[in-house]
Amino acid sequence: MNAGSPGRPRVVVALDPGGSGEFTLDLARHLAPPAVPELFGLLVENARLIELAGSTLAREFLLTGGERQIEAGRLDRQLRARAARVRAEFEAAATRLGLPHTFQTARGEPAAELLSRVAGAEALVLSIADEVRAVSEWYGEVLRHLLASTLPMILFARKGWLSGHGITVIGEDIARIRSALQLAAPLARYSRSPLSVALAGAAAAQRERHVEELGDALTMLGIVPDELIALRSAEASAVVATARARRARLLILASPAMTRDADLLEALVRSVPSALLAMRR
Amino acid sequence: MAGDGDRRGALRPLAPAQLYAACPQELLDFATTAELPDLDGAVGQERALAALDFGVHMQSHGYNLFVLGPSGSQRHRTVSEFLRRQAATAAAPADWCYLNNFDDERKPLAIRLPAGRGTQLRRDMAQLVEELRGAIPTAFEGDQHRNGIAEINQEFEDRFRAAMEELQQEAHGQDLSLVSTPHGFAIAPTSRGELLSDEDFERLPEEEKRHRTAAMEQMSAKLREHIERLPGWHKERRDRIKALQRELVSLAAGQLIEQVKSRYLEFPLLIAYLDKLRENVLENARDFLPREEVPPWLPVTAAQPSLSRYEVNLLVGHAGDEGPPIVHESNPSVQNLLGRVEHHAQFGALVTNFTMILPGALHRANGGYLVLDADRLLMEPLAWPALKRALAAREIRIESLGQLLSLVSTVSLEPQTIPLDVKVILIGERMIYYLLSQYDPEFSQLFRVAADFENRIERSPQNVRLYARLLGTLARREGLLPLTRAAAARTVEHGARLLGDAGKLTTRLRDVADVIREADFWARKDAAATVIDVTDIEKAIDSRTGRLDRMRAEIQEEIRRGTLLIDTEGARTGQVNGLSVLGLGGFSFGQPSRITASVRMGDGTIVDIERETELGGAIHAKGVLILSSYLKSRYAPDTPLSVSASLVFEQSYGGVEGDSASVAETCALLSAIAGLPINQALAVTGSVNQHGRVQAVGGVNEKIEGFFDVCRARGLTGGQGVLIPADNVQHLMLRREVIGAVEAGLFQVYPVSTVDEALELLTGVVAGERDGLGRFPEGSANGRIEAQLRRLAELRRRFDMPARNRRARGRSRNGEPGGSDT
Repeated sequence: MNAGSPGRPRVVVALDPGGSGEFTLDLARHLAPPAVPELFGLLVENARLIELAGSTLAREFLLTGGERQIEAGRLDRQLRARAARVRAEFEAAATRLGLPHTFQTARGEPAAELLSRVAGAEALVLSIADEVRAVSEWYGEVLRHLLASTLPMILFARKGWLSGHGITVIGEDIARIRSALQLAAPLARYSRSPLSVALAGAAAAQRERHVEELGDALTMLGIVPDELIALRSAEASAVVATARARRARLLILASPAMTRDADLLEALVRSVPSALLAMRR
Repeated sequence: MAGDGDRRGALRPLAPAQLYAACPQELLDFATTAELPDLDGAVGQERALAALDFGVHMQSHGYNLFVLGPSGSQRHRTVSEFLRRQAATAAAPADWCYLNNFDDERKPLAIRLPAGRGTQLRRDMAQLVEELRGAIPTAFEGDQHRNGIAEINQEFEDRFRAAMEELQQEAHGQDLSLVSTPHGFAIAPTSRGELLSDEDFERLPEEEKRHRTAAMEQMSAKLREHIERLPGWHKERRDRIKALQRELVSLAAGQLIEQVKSRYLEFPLLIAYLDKLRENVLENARDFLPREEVPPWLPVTAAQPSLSRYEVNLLVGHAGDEGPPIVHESNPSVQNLLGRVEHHAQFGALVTNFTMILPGALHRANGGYLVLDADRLLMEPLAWPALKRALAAREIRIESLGQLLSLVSTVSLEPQTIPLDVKVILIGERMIYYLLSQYDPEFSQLFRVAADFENRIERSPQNVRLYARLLGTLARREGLLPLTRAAAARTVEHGARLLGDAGKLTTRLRDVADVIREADFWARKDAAATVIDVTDIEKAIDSRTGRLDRMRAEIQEEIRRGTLLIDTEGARTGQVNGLSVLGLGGFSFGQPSRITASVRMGDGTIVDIERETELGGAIHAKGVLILSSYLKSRYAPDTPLSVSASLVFEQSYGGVEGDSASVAETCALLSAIAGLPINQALAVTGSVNQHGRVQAVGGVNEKIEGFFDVCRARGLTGGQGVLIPADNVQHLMLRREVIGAVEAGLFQVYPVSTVDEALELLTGVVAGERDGLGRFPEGSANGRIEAQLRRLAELRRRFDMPARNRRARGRSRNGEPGGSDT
């Protein structure tokens, strides 16, 4: 385990056995350019699950087909084994990528545990498998608390990063898009992905001009996107439709309004397999 | 020397011209052999060539050939040239390929294609694989694939999430908590969001408890149902993705494969193979994707998918060949004949596939000719049975030695057999042919044509001229200097001498060629010669002899020093100089041996001491028995032969074989009986029959020269010479020194036809013929012999009488009928 240098940007990676692939950390390392962030791996063990072990009424249904009572001892062994595996995978991946890192297992109420650790972090990476997310009743609550926080970036690390096509930045104003592109452009070069920019919500009359301005501004920065798109609306449905159509490997939302919209984020996570980065600053 | 008169003068020695048949140079109408055209084929081998012609053109089963004859007789070259001429008029045979059998990889498929098409197929398939390597990854990387996969995944994720959310909501609505566990899901009742403890549950009203329990059961059933659906969903997703990929690959690869098929429409087996290949490509399309680099720190690399199963193993290709193959296999082991399957080690095991099938000589010669040395073939373990099996079954089945011996039980390939259509030409010594004919019944069925190469050819003017052409061809082919006419003539004479027959020429051209090569060496060594002259030939012959002469020189020295006792002057009773030939590694020379006989009264037994001591061979023993019979029939036809004699090769410590000493032994015996001394200045060779006729023997030249060398070393007296069978005169090709001595009257060679003639020459006493009363002249050699034998018979009769009388008296006392003395 490496102890990060003081002052190094910190990225919290919320881990889950099904979601902590190396690609997650590979993505996370680009979240604080040009610095190399310190990764803080966090595995939260749901206190609710621990409580279940004390109840004779609780039943466990195995994916292999059986069902059984939850025994506290067995559950503890399972959780410890799972934590050891997640930790080993995390540390191995971080070491391979040359990233300073720490790891912690927390047992408690997931939202509270997570929120207590993201304070002062540059970003939170949610490396949680879709299947787990779907069945986790705490997930929606966590998301709402996170969106209410001042956390600068939330990355939903999803396997679409591996199978998608290109990086798409969606924003409502040129300044924020420019800011997002500071992060997106190197990532696009690194992953050899075409870079698209979608400007949402501009009035029809100004749309063409705004796109032109955006193009000029990006040229000044030395960034030449593969595609510049103007979206008629910044409504959730329009954004989701665009995201679905593009099937990007990474979708970057560069709009504070959008990144505070839990319903939009939920809809995006449900509708597209892309990794999703909410840039909230 | 006693006797009635010396008749030696009546038996005249041979003239010098009879001792050597020189090659008349006027037969050779050229200055050097450079003027002569090449001679293709063999000289004087018409019978063998006719057999070859028949065997090669006879298409019925089993008409393979055995070329028999002495080694060095140009059998290989003659056969090769003959086959080359035949092959020039025929087309190249088919190509044979092994292909992967997609139904059973252990049994590769054999495909026959016209000459050159196999090479084309291999190229086409290699190109197809290369194109598939490009087309399939392109299809996988395309938007159609990417989007299709994403859609499928999304659909199933949506389905899963929807189901889980529905369960979650339902659980929530029924005050149940649904959480994920390391191995699945768990449910438990809650109350106002908090887990309901066992105690709290027990405190609930019964109705509430029943309701909660029913809700748990209902939720459990739904969870079970959901979990049971998951494997089906996973499978459905995999199948959908597979079907999508199959469709895309079919589009990408199908066209490429169809293009290859269109080039081979006339080969149904190949078309069927390509259809199977297409299926295999569709099933294993991911094998065409770029391979991920395996990190070097991984201890064991997983087996990478190989595309070698789509390769073509061109076992035998005849692209560019202009006729049937002529294959000479110098190492005819089983594997070199039948082919083999190689293996390579992978993760501690030996593995193989159809690309590692290697052809054997039978594959390479299929449709043409396979030339093998019979002795090498027979010395290779199991090669001969394997060849017979292939020829009998008319197919090539690749089996390892281990399989043939049933020693290997590991699974290997069983390549499809390949039909065999080949002419096998075995080349070997006659003895091998005769042994195989005698002891191997299959041999006669499979090798029905014998091409028998002559050891010798007639020394006719025409053949002499052809021989000279052959010498010129040999010289030219090997880059040697041409031979002058005189050198060619001398080589022809050497060809006769090698055979030991003045009227024939040897066909063992290897020895003749060696002389020419060495003559070329001497010609170039001593001068900037442009031709090989007769002196070079002489030097080559002499130096060859000199290099091998150590043993002869030692024996000659032992004789000269008196260690080996050979008299070359004076006369001795019961002692004669016999002649034998020693053969040492291709070099033979004559050696005189002293043969002695001793006689006494006896019962007619002639003891062959060589035979008794097991130093004499069967033929030698036969000779002694024949002379014994001659003795009885000639000199004691009406009286018991009352002599016991013994014959011995003095100072002979090795084996004695052959009957060429039987004249000498007869003369020694007769000398001993009659007490007639034998002239030791003479030596004698020849075999005798029961009537006293002297018969031809082998090695006559070496024998004469062997005695001549002894006499010359001691000083030629003019009285020395050798008696040879008259029938051997035609074989004489003596050395120049011998002929010179004869010309100078210092040495003689006498031809004899009967024992009487030999006896006269050796004893100097007239042999004598029976007169009208059946009596030999008194004082003649035969008269003395007969008289002595009669005297011994009378002595024996008297000697035996007392014993017979005693036996007769004994029988009379016993009342038995008794004999009476006569």
